[in-house]
Amino acid sequence: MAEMQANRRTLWRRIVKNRWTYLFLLPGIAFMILFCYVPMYGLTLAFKDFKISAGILGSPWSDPIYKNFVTMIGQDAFWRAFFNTFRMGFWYIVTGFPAPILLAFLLNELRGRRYKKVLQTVYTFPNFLSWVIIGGLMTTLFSSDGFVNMIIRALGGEAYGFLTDTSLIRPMLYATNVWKGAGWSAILYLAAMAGISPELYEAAEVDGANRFHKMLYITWPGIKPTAVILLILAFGGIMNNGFDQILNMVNPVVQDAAENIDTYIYRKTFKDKPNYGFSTAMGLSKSVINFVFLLAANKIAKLLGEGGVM
Amino acid sequence: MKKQLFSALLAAILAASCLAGCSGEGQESSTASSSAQSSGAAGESQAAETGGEPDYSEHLSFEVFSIDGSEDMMDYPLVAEACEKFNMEFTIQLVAWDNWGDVTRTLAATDSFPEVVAWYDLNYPEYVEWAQEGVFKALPDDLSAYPNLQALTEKYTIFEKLKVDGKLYAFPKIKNNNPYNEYDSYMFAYRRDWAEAMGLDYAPVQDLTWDEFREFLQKVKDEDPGQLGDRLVPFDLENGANSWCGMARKWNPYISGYELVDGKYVWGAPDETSMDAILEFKDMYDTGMLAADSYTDANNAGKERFMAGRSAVIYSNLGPSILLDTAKQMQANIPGFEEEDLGLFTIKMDDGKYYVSQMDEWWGAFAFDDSCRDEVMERWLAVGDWLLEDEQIEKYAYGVPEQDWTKAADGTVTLNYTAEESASGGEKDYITNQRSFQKFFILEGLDVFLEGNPNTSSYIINDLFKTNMETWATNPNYTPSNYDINYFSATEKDSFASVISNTSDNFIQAVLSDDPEGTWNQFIEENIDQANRACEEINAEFCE
Amino acid sequence: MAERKRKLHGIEPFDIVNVCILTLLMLVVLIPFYFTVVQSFMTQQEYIMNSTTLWPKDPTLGNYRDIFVASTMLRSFGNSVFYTVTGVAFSMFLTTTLAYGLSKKDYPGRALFQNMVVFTMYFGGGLIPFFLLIKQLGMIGTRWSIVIPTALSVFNMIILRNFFEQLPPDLDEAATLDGASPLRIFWQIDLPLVKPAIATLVLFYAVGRWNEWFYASLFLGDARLWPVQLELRQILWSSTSFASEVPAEVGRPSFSEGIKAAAVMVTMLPIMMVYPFLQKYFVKGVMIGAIKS
Repeated sequence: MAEMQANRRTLWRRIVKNRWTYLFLLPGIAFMILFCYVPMYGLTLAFKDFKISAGILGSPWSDPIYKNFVTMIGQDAFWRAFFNTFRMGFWYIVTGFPAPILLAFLLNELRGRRYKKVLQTVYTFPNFLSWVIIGGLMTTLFSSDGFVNMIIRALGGEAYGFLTDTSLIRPMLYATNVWKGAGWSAILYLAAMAGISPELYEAAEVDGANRFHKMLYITWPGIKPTAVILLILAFGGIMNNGFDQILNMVNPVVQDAAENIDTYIYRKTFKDKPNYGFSTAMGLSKSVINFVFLLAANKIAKLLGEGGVM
Repeated sequence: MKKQLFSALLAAILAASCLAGCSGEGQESSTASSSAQSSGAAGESQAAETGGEPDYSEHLSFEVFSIDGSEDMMDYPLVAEACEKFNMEFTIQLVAWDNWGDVTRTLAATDSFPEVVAWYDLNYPEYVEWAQEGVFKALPDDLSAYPNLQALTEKYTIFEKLKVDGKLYAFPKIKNNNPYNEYDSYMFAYRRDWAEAMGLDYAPVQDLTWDEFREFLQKVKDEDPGQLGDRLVPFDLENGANSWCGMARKWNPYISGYELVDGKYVWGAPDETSMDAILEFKDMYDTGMLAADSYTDANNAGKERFMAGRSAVIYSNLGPSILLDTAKQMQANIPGFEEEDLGLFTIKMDDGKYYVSQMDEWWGAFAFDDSCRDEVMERWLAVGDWLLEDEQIEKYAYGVPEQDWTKAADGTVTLNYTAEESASGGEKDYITNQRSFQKFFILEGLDVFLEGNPNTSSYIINDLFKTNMETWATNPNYTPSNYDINYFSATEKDSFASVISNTSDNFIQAVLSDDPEGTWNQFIEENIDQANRACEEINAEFCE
Repeated sequence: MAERKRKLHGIEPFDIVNVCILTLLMLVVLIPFYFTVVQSFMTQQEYIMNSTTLWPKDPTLGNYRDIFVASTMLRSFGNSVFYTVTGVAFSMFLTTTLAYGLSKKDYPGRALFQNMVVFTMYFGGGLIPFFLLIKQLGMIGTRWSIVIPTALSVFNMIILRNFFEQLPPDLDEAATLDGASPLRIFWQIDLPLVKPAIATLVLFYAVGRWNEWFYASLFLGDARLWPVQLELRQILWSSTSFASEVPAEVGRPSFSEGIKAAAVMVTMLPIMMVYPFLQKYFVKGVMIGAIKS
C-alpha cells in the first residue's frame, strides 16, 4: 500500500517535472483526438450493412458479421491482384527507396554551389506533374510513332511496341515512380545532410580521410536515422502503391499485368452503387496488413539498434 | 502502474469524445428519418389542397445543388424572368464536375443536401436506395397542375420505371428530345471531300454494305486523298479502341449484356458472332485501317483525330447538336472544309439489315431533399413546366424576343447577333450560357428541332441526321434497351455488371492478340460461372 | 584567386563523373518535361496531327488564355494563397509542437502518445463520419473547413520528430542550467537547429496545401471560396468534349490536353518562386553557428 502510494507520488512528480512536454503535446494530441479519433466509429461500417436513414451507429450488423470481408475474396482474380500488390509493393520499395538517397549523395558531392541549386530545383519538376499528364507523356514518348521510336528509327532500328509489352509495364511503373518522386524525396536527405556539422568533415580531412570515407563515416550516419524512418514508413505503405499511377498508365492490353487490389476493386465496383460496408472492410484489411508490415519493420530496425517510428 | 493509469485516462478521454461524436450523429439521423416521415405526409395533403390557381405571393428563397451554374446566372434574362414571375430566388450550391460522385454520395449519406437537387448521371440502384432511405421527398402523384411535365411522363416509359413503391422520387431529364430519338445516335460520319477526290460520287447519306465499306477504307489507305502519309487513319472510333466493343454490337447486339433466348436470359458474349466481330476488327487493325496506338486512347481521342482531319470515317455518337458542333469544328480545323464535305454512311451488315439499338431516354434527374418545403417543390415544378412552353423554348434557343431576335408573320426567325457574340466569352454569351438553366429540367437538344432555327443548318439536320434515321427505319435489326435488366434489376447487380464491364477490355486484348480465339475463350471460361449465376438470378426475377 | 586555385586543385575524376551523371539525369528529367511545356503552347490541331513536335510551328498562348479567361481565376489564386499561408502556419504550429513533445524522453505516457499518433496513419473513420464532424463543428461552407481539419500530416511530424531526437541532449540541459525557460529553449535553441527540416516541411506542406482540391470540393459549395486547383479542374472538365454541350468560342475549340499542360505550369510557378528562398537553409553550416552562440 505504502509502496503504491510512493509510486503514485513519484509518477505525479515525474508528470509535474515534464509538464512542459505535455503542454507541447496538447495541441497536436487534442487535434488528433478531435479529427482522427472521434470519427473512428466509422470503422464499424466494415461489419455493418450501411443504411442511410439509420446512420452509421444505427445500421444493422452484417449477417454473418464478416460478410463484407468475404464478398470479394472468393474470386481467383482477387487473389491474383492481392499477391501482385505485394510483389509490386516490394519492387516499389526496392527501386523507390534508394533512388533519392543516391541522388542526394551525388548532389552533396557536387562542387559548384550554383549548379547544385539549379539541379536540385530541376529534379523536383516531375513532382508537379500529375499521373494523368505522365500517362499522356508515356504515349508521346513510347507509342509506335512516339519520340523513342522516332530515335530508334532514325538510328536505323525497328520500332518497338513498348506499350503493348506486358513484361515492360511493371518496370515502367517503377521507373516512372522514381522519375517523378526521387528529386522531391531527395530534399529530405539534403535537409539531413545540411544538419551535419562541417567540423566533422574538416576533422576527417585532417585525419587524411578520402571522399568515400567521409561519405561512409560522416554523411551516411548523418542521414541514416531519416533513411530508416522513411524505409519503415515505406514498408507500412506496401499495400498503397500506385493506384492513381496505374490507372493512368496502363492500357487494356497490359492492365492485367499491373493489377493490384485497388485497381481491381475500382474496376469491379466502378459501375455499381458504392457499398460503404464493403469499401470500409477492404480499407480496414489493407490498413491492418500495412500496420503489421510497419510494426515488423519497426521491430527489425530496433533490433538492429536504429530508431523507429514508435 | 503508471502505464495503466495513463491508458485509463486516455481511454476515458476517447470514450467521452467518441460518445460526444456518436450522440451527435445519432441525433442527426433520427431527426432525419422523422422529418422524412412528417414531410412526406405533409407533401401529400398539400398537393391535394392546391388544385386551383397557383399562388406565388410568398417570396421563396432556396438552394439548388448542381454541377452547372455560373455566378452571373441570376442575370441571364431567362433566369431573371423566371425568378420574377415565380417570386423566388435561389443560390447554387456548386459541385465540381470532377468530384461529383464523392460529394453527392457524402451529402446523401449525411443528410446534407439543400432543398433542390439537380442530379447528374443518375445511377438507378443508388436512386432506389436513396428513395427508400428517405433521402428524397416524393413528387406529388398528381402532376396535372403541370401539364407539360405530365405530358412527358405519359410519353416516356422511363417515368413508370422510376417509381419506387408507386411514387416518383426524381424527375428524370429526357435526352435529345427530338422526333427521331428512338435510335441510339452512334453513326458513321465520313469525309465527302475525300470520297470526291477519289472519284466516288457519294450521297450525303451514302448507303453501303459492310464489304463496300471495307473497300472504301482500303481505297482511302491506298490513295491517301488527304496526303497525310503515316498520319492517316482510315477508320476511327469515338474513344479509340474503347469503342470497338460498342461497335461489335453490329455482329452481336448482346456482346456486353444478356440476351433473351427461348424465354430465358443467357450471357451474350459467348455467342459465336462475337468472334466474327473480333476477327473483323483484327483484320482492320492488322491492315492499318485503325489507329495503331488507339488502345491507349482516352475519351474522344478518335473523334478528335477525325475532327482534326486525320481520319476518313468516324464511328461516334453524333446526335444533332454534336453533329452541328463537329461540322463547325472541322471547318475551323481543316482549310477549305465546307459543311457539305461531311457525310454519313448507313451500313448494312451481311444479313442486309441496319443494326441499331434503342436510345436511352434519360440521363440525369432533378429531385427534392426530404427537408424540402412543399411550396419550394411546387414552385420548382411550376418553373419546369413553364420552361417547356414553346415561348420559353424559343427564348432559350434565340435569346430575348424583340431585342435579340424577331419573328416575321410567316414564322421566319431573324437573329440580331452573330455566332461570335453568342458564344462563350462573347457580348451576348447569356444566350448560350442560360441553357444551363434549362438543363436543370431537360437535358439537351430542344433548340435544334425548332422549325426554321437559324442557329442550325438544314443540311446537317435534315440532309444528314434525319435522312440517316429514316434510312435505318427502312430495314432495322432493332435492339430495344432492356431497362429491366440494364437498370432496374437491383438485387445483385454488382455480381453481373462486373462481368459485363470487363468485356470491352477483353475484346481489345483479343483483337491485339496473336491468338484471338484463345484469348477470348479464356475470358469466357473465367467468367462463365459468374455470368450463369447472374442469369439464374435474372431469370428467377423476370422469367417466372 | 587563391581560393579558386585551391578549388581547381582539388578536382578529382570523381567530380567529373559526378557532374556528367547529374547532368545526364537532368536531361532525363527535362526531356519528358519539355514535351509538357511544348504541349502547353500547342493548338489541338497541331497536337493531334503530330504530338511529338520539338517546337510548335505556330505557338499559341490559347491554353493559358483559356485558364485565365475566367475572371474568377485571380480570386481563386487569392483564396489559395490564403489557404496556403494560414494552412502552413497552422500545420507548422501543430507539427513542431507535437514533434518536439514526442521527441522528449522519459515522461509518463510517452509510448502511448507515440502509438496513438502512428495509429492514425493507418486507421480512420472514413469520409462520412469526418463530414458529419465538420458539419457539427459548423465549418461546412467556411474557409476554416479547408485550413483546420486536415492540418496535421503524421508523416511530416515523424520526420521532424526524428530531427529533434538527433539533437545533442546536453544542449537542453546546459540551457536549463543557464535559466532558460522550456519555451525559450524550444524557440531560440532547438528550433533554429532543425531549420533545414523546418524549411523542408514548409515546402511539403505548402505544396500539399496548394494542390488541395478534394476537401474543398466536399466542403465548399460556394464557388467564391474555391481554391485555384479546384477552379483549374473545373476549367479542364468543361474543356473536354463530354461536358461541352455548350459550344466553345467559335473557331478555336479549347484543347484539354493543352490546358492540362498549361495548368501544370501555372501551378508550379508560385512554388518555384518560393523554393529558392527555402533552399538557402540547405546550405551547410546552419548547425555550427547556432551551437557556438
